[in-house]
Amino acid sequence: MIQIKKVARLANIPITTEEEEMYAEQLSKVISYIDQLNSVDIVGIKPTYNISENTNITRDDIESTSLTQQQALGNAANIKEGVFVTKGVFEEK
Amino acid sequence: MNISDLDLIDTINALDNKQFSLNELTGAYSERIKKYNGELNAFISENEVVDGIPVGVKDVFCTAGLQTTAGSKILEGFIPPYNATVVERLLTKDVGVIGKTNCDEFAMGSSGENSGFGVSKNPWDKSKVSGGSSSGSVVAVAADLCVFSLGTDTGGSIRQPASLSGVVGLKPSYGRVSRYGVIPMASSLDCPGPITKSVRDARQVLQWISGPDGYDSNCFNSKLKDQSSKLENLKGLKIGVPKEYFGKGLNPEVESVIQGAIKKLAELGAKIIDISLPHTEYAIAAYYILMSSEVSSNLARFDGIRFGKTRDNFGMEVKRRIMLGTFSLSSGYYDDYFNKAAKVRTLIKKDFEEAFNPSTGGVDVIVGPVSPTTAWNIGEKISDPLAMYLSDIYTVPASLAGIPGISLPGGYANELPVGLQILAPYMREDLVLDVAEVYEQNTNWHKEKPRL
Amino acid sequence: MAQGEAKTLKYSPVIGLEIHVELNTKTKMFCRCLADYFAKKPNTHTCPVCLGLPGALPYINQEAINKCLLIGLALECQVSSESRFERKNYFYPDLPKGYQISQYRWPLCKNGKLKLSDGTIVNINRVHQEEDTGKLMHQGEDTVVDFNRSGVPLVEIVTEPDFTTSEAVREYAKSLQQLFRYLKVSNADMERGDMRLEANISLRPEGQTELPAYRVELKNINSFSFMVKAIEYEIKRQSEELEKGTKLTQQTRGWDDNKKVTYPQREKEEAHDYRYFPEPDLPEIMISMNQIDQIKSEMPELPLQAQKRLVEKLGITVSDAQILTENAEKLTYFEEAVELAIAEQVSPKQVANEILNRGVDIQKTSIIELVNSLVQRRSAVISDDETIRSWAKEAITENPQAVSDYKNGKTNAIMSLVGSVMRKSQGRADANIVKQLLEKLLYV
Repeated sequence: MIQIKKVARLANIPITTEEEEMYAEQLSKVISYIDQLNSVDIVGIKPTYNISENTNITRDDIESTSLTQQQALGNAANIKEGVFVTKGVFEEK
Repeated sequence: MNISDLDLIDTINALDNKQFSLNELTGAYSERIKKYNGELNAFISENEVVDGIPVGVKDVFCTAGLQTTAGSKILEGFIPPYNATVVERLLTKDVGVIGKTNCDEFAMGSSGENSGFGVSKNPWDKSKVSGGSSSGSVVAVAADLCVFSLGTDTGGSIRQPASLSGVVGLKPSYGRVSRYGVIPMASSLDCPGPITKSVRDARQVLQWISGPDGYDSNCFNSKLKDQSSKLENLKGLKIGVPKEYFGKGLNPEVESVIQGAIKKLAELGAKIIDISLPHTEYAIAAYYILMSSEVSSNLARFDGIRFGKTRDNFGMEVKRRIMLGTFSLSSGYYDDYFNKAAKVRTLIKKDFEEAFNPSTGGVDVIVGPVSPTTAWNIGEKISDPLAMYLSDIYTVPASLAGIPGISLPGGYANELPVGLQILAPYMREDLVLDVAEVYEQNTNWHKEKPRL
Repeated sequence: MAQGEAKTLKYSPVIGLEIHVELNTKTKMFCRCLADYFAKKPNTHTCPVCLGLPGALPYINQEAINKCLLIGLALECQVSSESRFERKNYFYPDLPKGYQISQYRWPLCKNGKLKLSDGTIVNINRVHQEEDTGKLMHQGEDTVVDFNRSGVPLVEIVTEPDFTTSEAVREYAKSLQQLFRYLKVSNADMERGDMRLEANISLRPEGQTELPAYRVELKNINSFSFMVKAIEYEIKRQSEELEKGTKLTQQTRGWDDNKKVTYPQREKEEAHDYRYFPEPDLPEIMISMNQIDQIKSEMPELPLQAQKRLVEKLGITVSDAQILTENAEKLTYFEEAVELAIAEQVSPKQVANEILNRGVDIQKTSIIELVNSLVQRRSAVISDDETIRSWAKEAITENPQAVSDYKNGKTNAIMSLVGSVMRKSQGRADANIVKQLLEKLLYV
């Protein structure tokens, strides 16, 4: 059974008790639909993670222009003196 | 001549022949946006200066200096400092962005109703949905608010709305077109592609936007070969019709339109062959696991620090998928959900490989319906997510297999458009386009216009 | 178990080490921004990729992969023929994408080993490639982020829990630092954060073979000696706790060097459910035997190999060889000096002795100066008075001016006669003996 509260915390999604009930109902319906995958014979089948079938796509160690500081910070809600301001990350000492 | 009736190729020719100027062209389209966008809600934002052939760009493509929202309130006001590769390439072809088109939030939806900026209306019947997620992109093309548009197809988000709104929508092979600068839904499935007024336009736009860019590692062996069609008819072509695409759930009127189209293809010389894609029934389940897993990770960057607002601004469907994906990747579930779905994906891919296998007498292309129904009423399915998911049954398998597919007008049921889907092997867009173009040239469906 | 028995139990530590090292590539791991972030203006080495902007995609830097393989091969790892990047999902303000591109199920290199000086083997579980995070700083009330470091290539080297003492941990960590410098893959400077250590430590009753059910992770410790102190403190703390009958649990702790104690650190929420899955934006990496051979052929000589060579070919003692191979710079200096010294018939041993026991500053002393002083000192041993006397007589005959100057009270003039004798001896005479002899001859 899906533990909505735990999943929401992992997903960093704030939810109300009301939403919790709704999601529990909707997602358990979806998951029980998805559980039909259990009837597929997958013995010996390799998983497909990337359909492009490319391998070793890499680049040389050559620089190109970065964004300016102004561009980098341009969409942030809270900045000061060239840096992004965020909620305090608490650390016990 | 009505400027906004012309497709892209005719527009380019008319500009070359100086039948009208670029200003007249952009003016004609801007005028129509002014007149019709209010009720159709195809565009989220319009560009003040349009310097080129007007393209409508789904609001998941980053446009430097132009608001890009992905249809989400969380990104309202976000101004990207860079262009998506596809946008950048169009700009070098004398194309100009006339506006950013509406879509389901982060491209998650099949109706356009999940947009944070209101639903787009179907030009054929404004009480109906346009299909989604590239809702505004199909509406803008169907209503002649732009010459062509860009969409993205993850599980059908180009083909299904193209079908429901009566335009041409091409989902290229995965990796044919760079995803760089396209706000992702599911990275292993997302395919940017054109939505156009004609098949030849789709071919032209694909030519412009495809090929490696050095920024999307999955778009590497993606250069197109010569793309001009050589087919006059379909003699000698083998067309597969999968029985799984004609089961219960397919609306009988839609089915008769598609059967009519298949008959037409046979008249044009194609050999019609019944085939089976046996794992089709598992596609939706596998898709929802893989897609939502990738969604849960792709949307983790929206933390409100560098851009956008806080995570409580996500809409319901987005939250639902983030939660589903988080669950299926979480400790103890990976093997039962994510990895199992990845194996089922292999089986679905193999279904197509076998159907197309020339050494076992396989078919050249596969045809069938795009959507089990025509456009439905706005609000009709909004409270039943699973029913909405299941409507993607004919588009999702090709997405999982990464193969190209097109939806083009194939007829009408109760005065609503029905799209015909054509699928071909991986990286064989040429086949999809060739067959589609022959069909289009021998039918008149695409000439119909909605009465606005 | 009765309490009396519990008290008599002896515990032995089980310690594993994770080392993160930043590679010195020119550009970042997955984008083309410059990787050198040290002391740069904040948020000026960023782009859509390393800022995690919507729509941006990673693209692998081949040079970083090569350097990771170099480390793996130097640690005798197996290189995976098929390797993948994966996403490690967690939320933290310094992690712009909400996931770190790392490796979990398919690392580039695995199953390596390193031999310590006492002959014990440290088994290496994996050497994998990942990317660094941005940098969080506290400014007054605010926590602020600079993303210049975001996306800098990191290699993580994880050992099996094979250590039982803090000293072995120190030796291992120092050997790796030395290795990174030999391979020229990183500056491996602990203070700058180029190299970071994390230890996990737990205790089990002596004789028990299975691993304890808990482990304490020591994190954010930026020097070798703090790590040693923290481990020793933990061994003591944990054994006291266990003796009291406390059930120890999973925990992350840091080191407070003022109080000389470890202290519990707040962990990332849900830290242990990273929801790893294959990174869909990056195709698989396949490494062929050819590529491995190529990298092996480019591998510079490693410290242990150099030590062996010094002992076997140059007759240096093992302990001297260890010091001489501490870093590549010292080794190069020594070897260049030996080359010059051999031409002057000075033995490698004497050169080693000069560098190690006389505390020669290799930054300030040129190799020529070093060898010359050795040459001169060696001549002092040869004090064949008769030979020197005949050279001295010649010098007196040949330099009448200097002789008369000296006799007129310019005592310094004798130095040109000393120089003349030294030249005749090709620098092999002891200058002091020459001077004394000349003074004697001129006095007569």
